Amino acid sequence: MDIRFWGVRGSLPSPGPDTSQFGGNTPCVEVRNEGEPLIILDAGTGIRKLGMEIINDPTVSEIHLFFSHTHWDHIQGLPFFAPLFSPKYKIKLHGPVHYSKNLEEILSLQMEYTYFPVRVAELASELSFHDISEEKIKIGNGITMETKYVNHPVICLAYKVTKDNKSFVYITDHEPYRNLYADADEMGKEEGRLVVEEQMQALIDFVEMSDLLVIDGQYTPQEYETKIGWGHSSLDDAYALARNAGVKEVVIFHHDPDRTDAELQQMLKDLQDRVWDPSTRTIPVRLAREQLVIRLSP
Amino acid sequence: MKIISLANNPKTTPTDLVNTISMDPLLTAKLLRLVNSAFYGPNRAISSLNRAVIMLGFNTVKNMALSIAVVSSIGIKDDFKWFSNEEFWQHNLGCAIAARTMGTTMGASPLEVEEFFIAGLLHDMGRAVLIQKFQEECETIYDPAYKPDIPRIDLENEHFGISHSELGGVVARHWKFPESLIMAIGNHHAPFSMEDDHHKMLTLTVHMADQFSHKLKIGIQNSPNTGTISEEAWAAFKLDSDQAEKCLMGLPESVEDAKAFLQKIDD
Repeated sequence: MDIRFWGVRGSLPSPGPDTSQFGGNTPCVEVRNEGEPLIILDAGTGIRKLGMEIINDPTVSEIHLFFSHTHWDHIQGLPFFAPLFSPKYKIKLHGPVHYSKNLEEILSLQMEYTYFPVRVAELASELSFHDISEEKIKIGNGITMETKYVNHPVICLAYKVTKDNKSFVYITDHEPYRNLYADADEMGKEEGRLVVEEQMQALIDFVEMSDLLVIDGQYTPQEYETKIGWGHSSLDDAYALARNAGVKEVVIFHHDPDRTDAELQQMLKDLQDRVWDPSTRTIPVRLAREQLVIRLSP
Repeated sequence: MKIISLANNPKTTPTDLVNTISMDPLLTAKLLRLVNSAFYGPNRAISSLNRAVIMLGFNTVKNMALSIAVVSSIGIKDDFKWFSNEEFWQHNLGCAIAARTMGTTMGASPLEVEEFFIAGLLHDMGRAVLIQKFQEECETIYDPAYKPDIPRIDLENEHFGISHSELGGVVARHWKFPESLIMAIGNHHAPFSMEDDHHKMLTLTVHMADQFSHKLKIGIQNSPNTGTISEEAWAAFKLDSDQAEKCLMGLPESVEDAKAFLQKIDD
């Protein structure tokens, strides 16, 4: 399984000389398995270049595009994804269920005539829309896609791709669950505490022993203190989940749009200093950057 | 609309939101319906608003509640002859608070206790449906002078072929509520006939809380139900009458406090 990063930045694109090393495109990750349909996670602006590569690749005909959620930075590249305009492609769009609109309605809104010259109904590819919740989906001959809700101000899904006993987990736009009932009565506080504990454990179970975890680590621990409830994690929280779940490698993702390349490198170095402990195994951690490819060999 | 003003206030906390939603049986019912039908399957259905907020996020639940409140149309019509929407609401809230207190006394865990409250709050949702759909017939059968010796639930069965309790259970199942709530709502008038032991104590507690609310005249004033509790119910219940009475101390005041809280938000 080859995982390639096409967009690693959160919130909005951040082009410029200070971000050129890690890249300024918003989230998009390609997952390739030989002889299987192509999987894409999120359609931030990074998907535009991936689309251009796909139309020059005769081996791709079926594409499964999974949205973690439908905030702007995860959908804004979709109208510029070239395969949408070609009848050669069968494209299945999967995204988290919403309580009042389905995925097709949500995605069609950003391609209304007011915002974009081509409407969804006019797209030439064979499109289908799939509203998904927590479930297990079979793709192609041997890929399993599992999903889990994570903690964000809108419904957001984490994805686990498994093929030939190798698994890759993608968790973007998530912050640790917390007890929101500090001001409630004792029973309410205790219920909150237990639900948080249960949800934290459920996420560890979901991630457990995966070969690669790509995870939101937008903030430093100090920054996070002022951004609680925004739906993003600190590097340390991201690393703690990786450690508690015993993953083999962790990649920090969804970089802050204001973060320069030099600042990102310093953040990583600081994290490594904080988590280094000679008595325990330190999990390899690196920063996601555009065009980074990670191969999980069976 | 309290929910709208709360949802538009950036200072609103999850506790404010849940406290306000849980005072409104219909909003609570619709919210749980939406949470469970949209996000969770029947095996993992959620029956606590606190849990829903932590699992789905404050923002999601707030916006769901807002969208429901805005389009909400189900309720007891204010021109219904025998009780007002406010009386109906107070009866349900009284039942909810009583059920929660009894659940706590019986040793329900913090993860279970909210279910007692919700089950009490929603136990009469079938009645709201009957009144909305068949107002004229309901004005006849809920008239305390009409066939005074016959329990209203028998009259419902006679007129509609289903009681408000059973109808509530059917609606709860259709709305994908957890099995515990379906059983409690659907059987709160006949908890002794239940074979399912798993949900029997919750259902029995709601039955007791309902009867106590009638006995204490909380909410609906004009009810022919005097809140008599059968020996069979006492025999099956985990609390004796002294313990139950302790749970009911301060119940009318708690309902009044809740009413005052809502008025304060409105002001």
